[in-house]
Amino acid sequence: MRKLFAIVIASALCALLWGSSVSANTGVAFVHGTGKQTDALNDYWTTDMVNSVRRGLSNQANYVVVNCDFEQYMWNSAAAGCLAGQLHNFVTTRNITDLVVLTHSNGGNVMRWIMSNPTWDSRYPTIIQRLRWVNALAPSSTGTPLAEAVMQGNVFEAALGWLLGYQNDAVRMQQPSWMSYYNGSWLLGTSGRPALPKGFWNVVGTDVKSAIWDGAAYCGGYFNQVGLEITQSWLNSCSDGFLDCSSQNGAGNLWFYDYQISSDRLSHAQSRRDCHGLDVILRNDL
Amino acid sequence: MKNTIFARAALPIACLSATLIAGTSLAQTNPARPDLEIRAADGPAVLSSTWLEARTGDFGPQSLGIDPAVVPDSRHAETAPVKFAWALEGVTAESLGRSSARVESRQYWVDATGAELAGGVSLPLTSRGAVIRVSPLEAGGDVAGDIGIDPASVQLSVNGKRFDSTRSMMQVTDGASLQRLGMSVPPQTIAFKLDKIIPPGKLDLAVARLPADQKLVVHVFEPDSDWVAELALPRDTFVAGETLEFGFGLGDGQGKARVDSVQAVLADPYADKTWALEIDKTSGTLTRRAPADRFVSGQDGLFEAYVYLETVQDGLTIRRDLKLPVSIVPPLARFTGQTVATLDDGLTIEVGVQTAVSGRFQLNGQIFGTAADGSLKPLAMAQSAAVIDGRAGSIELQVTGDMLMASGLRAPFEVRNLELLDQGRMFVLQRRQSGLLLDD
Repeated sequence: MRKLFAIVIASALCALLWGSSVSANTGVAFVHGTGKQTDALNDYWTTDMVNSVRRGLSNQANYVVVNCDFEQYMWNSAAAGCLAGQLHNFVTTRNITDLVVLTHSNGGNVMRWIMSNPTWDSRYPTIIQRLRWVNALAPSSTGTPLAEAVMQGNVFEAALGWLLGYQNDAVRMQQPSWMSYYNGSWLLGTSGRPALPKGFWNVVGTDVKSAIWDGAAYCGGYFNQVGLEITQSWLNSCSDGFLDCSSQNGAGNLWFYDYQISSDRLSHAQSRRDCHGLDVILRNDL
Repeated sequence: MKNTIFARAALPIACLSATLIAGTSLAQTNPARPDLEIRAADGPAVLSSTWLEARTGDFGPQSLGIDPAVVPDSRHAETAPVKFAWALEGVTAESLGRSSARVESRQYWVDATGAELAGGVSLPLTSRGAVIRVSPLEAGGDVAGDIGIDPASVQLSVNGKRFDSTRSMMQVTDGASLQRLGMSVPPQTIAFKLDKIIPPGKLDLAVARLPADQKLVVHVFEPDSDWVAELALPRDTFVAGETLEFGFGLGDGQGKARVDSVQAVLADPYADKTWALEIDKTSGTLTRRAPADRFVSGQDGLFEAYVYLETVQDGLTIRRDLKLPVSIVPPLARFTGQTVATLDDGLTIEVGVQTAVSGRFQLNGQIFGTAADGSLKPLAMAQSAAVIDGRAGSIELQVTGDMLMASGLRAPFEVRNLELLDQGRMFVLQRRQSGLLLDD
């Protein structure tokens, strides 16, 4: 009887919302990538990017810039736990019923952890329930060879513990072989695995421009483009300088490649900035 | 391309989920039971429940003969039971579960001190265009003092022939630039690509003006090399005591080469303990039993096999490092084999679980139903988690009536990829790819 009552109440609530979807209270959350952020608004996204995107909201105050410790493994309470806390607080205190989450890089993995493991934490179902979809900007869904390249010295010449202690857990986790394990066990949304409960739409950067005479290289700061040529040596021909395209589109669904929106390309640093019209597309998607 | 019209569809989908959650949340008041009973005849219809034959790739403990004292503590923070289900997409009834693990390598690492690098370190190359990185390496990433590596201090020679390093080192980049790109290297790093004029052979790399006792690592990556090493396991998860049999090989696309030298160890996630792998160069296998004397929480990472291969082919030395993660889990819980499936407005599947220790356990199941044409179609991805304090209990998967009705599917149902997981220790403890057949 209690079960029936709960279903009736939930259905009635939904019917009410469904019938008046124009009254959905839309909010947007910005979820950073690897790193321990305390001021991601300024240090990671920039106010130009955030302010441009949130102009697409009817209530421009309905946004949150998440600050968590994504140097940890994605399941860590300082990572997914922190993200869930900030998202849950955002949707409940501001009564957000239609949440769009923008993630960048490893932030996509932490968000995908929440979406893949809804029973891990009783806050997760509420977040998933109110989530419209995730716009995943260059997510590292199948990891990056760069994480593997920096991971170790020669294990047969040194004490292993010394080598393993060198990198943070997030880098260790984003090695392709590790992400392959997690994508096949704890994470959903990759090929051959069940789809996530909500959409996970990928924005894929396909190339980089770092020539000093190329104006596109200056968006987001030219200093962020220096070195892209050599990082591409560790990657496939299609990459954003940090991630192969196959990793960026390794879970969920393709939204668009950078060349579909601009003649310029989105490097990994540029896909979190208001570069080449990306901010406008994200704004119009709200 | 995503269309904003999807936004209009989002709310109904959210509502469906909300209804599912509301419909399942009340079941949370039903505590895990040590024994399962068939329900009263006037209640929901009880479906017959049959375990389907195990398939290659399935795993799980045969028994729970483990000392609870050696099991890592559960770190679960959540204590409330939580259930969730949503429409199953992305798989079909014909989908096979993925279980193998495999890595390839065109790279190797060499450790050296500043003194050794000053004298020159020998690096075998099998192709042109190698990428070389030299970084200081200290525990915790702390590098003592300022030891910036100056490109002008690098000297290169191949098979004894000296090359002008300023013309042979391309795309020279420092660590600070690589860090800005997201590559986690010390700022004192130098990385460069060898110009195509540098031929395969024995490269001698010398770096002057480094502190003599400074530990450094030289990473050599040969993106254009035909020589690829591989390491594989038939599954990515093993129960302690099961036999691990890694396959390894080295080839150039034309076939496998004889491997002259192999080193191989298995290390726990902290690398506090390592175990030698038994090497059979003839069959290309590395074996040992999955350790049962050292258990580490999956929340702290994965065990890893480290393998080093070297051989000489036509006078060319080929060197490769490989690393493959594997989850090794203690036999601390398993399905009892008892199940009760009931069908009323929704479908409920209660699965018995036997545990050696308390913890928060999760059940995953991909639920398929029968369509009007008799074919099996995906219905729901269902998950459920609950704390089990005793040595036995049960966990319920649930598909609500709304979801069932919307699908148009009916019995017989199948639960595929039925998995038992330990959330607080982050182990996948048991997997049955063909799980249960439920029929009326």
